[in-house]
Amino acid sequence: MAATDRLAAFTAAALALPGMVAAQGLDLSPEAPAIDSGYSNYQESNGRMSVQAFQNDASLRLGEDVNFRVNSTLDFIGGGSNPMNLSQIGGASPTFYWGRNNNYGRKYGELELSQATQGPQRGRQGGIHDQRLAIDGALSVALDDLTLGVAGGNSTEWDYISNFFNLDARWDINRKATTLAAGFGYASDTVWADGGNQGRIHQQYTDGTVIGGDKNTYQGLLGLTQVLDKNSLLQVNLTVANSSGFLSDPYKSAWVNDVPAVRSPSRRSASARAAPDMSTHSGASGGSPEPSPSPVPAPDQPAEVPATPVNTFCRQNVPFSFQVNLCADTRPGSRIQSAVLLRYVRNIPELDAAALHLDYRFYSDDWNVDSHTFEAGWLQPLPYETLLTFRLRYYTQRSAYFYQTVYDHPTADGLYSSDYRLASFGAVGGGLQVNKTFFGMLQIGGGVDLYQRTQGMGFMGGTGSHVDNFSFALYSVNLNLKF
Amino acid sequence: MTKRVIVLCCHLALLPGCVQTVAPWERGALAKPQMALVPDVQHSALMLHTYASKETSSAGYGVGGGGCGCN
Amino acid sequence: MGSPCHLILYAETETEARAVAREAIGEVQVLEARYSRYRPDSLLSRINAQAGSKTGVVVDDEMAALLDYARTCYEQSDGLFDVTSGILRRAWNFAGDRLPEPRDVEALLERVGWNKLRWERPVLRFEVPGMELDFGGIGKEYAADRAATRCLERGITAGVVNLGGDLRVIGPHPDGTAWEVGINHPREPGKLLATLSVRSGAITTSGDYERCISVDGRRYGHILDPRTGWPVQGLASVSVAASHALIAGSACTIAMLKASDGPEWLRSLGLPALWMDLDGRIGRHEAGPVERPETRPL
Repeated sequence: MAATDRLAAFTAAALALPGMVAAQGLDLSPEAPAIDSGYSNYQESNGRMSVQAFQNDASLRLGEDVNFRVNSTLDFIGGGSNPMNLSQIGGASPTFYWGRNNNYGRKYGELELSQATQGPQRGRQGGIHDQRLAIDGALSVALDDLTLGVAGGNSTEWDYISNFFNLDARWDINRKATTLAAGFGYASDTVWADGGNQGRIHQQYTDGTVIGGDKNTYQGLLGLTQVLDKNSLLQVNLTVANSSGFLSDPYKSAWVNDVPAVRSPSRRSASARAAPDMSTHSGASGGSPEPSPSPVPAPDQPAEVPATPVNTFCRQNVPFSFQVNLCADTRPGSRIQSAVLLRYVRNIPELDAAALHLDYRFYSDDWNVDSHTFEAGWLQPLPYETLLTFRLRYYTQRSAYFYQTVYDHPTADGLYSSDYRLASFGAVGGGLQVNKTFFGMLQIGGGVDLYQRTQGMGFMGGTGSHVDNFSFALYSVNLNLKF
Repeated sequence: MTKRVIVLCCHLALLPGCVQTVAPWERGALAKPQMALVPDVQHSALMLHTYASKETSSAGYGVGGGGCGCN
Repeated sequence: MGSPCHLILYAETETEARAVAREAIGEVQVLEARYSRYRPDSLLSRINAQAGSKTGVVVDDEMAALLDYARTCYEQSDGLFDVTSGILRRAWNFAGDRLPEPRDVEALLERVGWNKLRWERPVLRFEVPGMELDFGGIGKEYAADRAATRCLERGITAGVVNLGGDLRVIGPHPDGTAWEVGINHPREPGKLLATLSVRSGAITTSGDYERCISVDGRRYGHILDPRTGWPVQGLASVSVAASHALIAGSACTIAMLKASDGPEWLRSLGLPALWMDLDGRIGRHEAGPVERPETRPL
């Protein structure tokens, strides 16, 4: 029900006075001193992967208008016992799913399923085979209607180092009904294939060069947040990112049919001379060799795979060089990604101030990947300072232009990737979370998020494979302390 | 893509014209924690990291590094 | 502030309670120093001295918001609530027992009237020399709200601020129970007209009994009609509950100024209110069509 016009006039005039309400206006980043801790457990279907993550964040106020926030994440990436299903190799769709540190069997058709063969906890049944420590700090200074922020951090894994910094500015206009935001980010990453000893040994291609390289990413953001009415607001973000350098997956290989393989020592050397030196190509990450013409196999050649095959038309990872049909994951050396994010939040006063969140993102890059992400959230306040959160998500993407589940022939551009992340697919997800606040300052919560990727659920076109279908469950508990 | 972004920008320019003015004291509902654009920052960061390592789209939510080695 | 003030609050430790109380009291003292009409060095006194000049005076944001609020009161009361009327107190001595000379009051009335000042944010200018602003009916109530806000910002969720009978609740007792607020009977000292339960918001009371003079058996209260310069006659006491002491306080004063039309005006406002007229009739307006502080008359 609406207030009387008379009372509305008094209320408006009274609340225009400074200090009449404790929390005035729209504060997009409430930065009360707080400690947030979370533990989460990620389990992927068929034991493909499990991750335990410990997040510890703290924000503190350094004076009236200066805030500092530090975030840390420690992940332990463990393995399931079976990173690769036997049914996934051979047959019509021989796609490959090597996770990290998989040591493929020495003979075709014979799978060595153990993971973490060189990790601190060796063994077939899991154990830790990577860990990630990410720490970042952010400092923000409020100058009247302008908030300036600078942030930087580092993320380190056994096969990956990232150093990054960001600058951002927020400008409140229109009596804080509108907020404009601009941001710039730079990240310098190095990635390699962990060959053991906690990443100190780097895996190599068969030509002797180390798998991996550097990647530089520049990001820009423009944002607008608008209060629509007293119960709803809308945010629009535009981001553009330009990455260059090594953008391939250092562990993955793609299966290529009709390969110009050389199968005898004499012809091997001849063909090797004819093939370009792959290590000199820098245009594409991991090299972009010109394919050799595919020779028609002589009818008198033996059908079985020889003991020492040699591949001369594409770059191979040493662990996968036993099979001439396997080419190292090789992607373009640059990528431009842009996205539009729309966020809408609506308060439902009739339902105890429940909040409806609707997010939509359109993403597009110059690898011909387009994607749509739809997310919905419902946050329902309940008695006894309890908050129930429901989340739903749908995602679909088109495959990258060079992606194939299996390559019929060597490619002209020398690009190969059968990485399931570049495939065409759709995914649905949902989650449930309960939080309860004690004494107005301590919040404890727990929840679960489920995710199902299904080949048939996408609508963006492109290629993909149903054997890439998987699901995960992510269980999390959190503890927040506000001062 | 470029065209689509430009069309959207035009709409944005019109946006402030069609929203009603909401005075600061009328924004009590908007200040509630469940109304924050990102209600649970920590959980959101975790999910974004997870999705970014399973899907190839990773942009739109802000600028910031610390991706994963999963490329 | 010239009247008894209380600050009651619950905190984890006595140290914390004292620290917050110090801040809240400091807030009140700062506002008193700014807006007191009794202090020649106050911001209000300086503005009164300068606003009569040809160019007027530029005021700060807080003073500007107070002037905007004063204009709202003036408009919503059809000209009865007038921050320029305080000057009439020069003729009225409520500590004595004599009525003022009518021509003294007449003379002062020339300097009274919101329509005789130009308020164009941020410039204030008096068109008649010798005019004065007086934030009585606003300043004390605003201070109570500011003190409560400061406590809330420091994490105090249970407590009450009482500035000379203008009561602003910070929050209910820690167990959730309401504060019991007694409303004095305007004619029978020591007796209560009603007891109200308040969990949040504010309750203020205005009456003709607190500062008044009685001459020839007739009571002259301190609330003066800016049109006549004489005390209004109609209501003995008005209490209003609102989200803020400022709103409740100005509503009480306006209802008193409206005299016999006060109850009707309170209904049009839509806030819970309790009043007694000069004949001793008690009236009550319960629920307005608005979100209001929880009150439960006993």
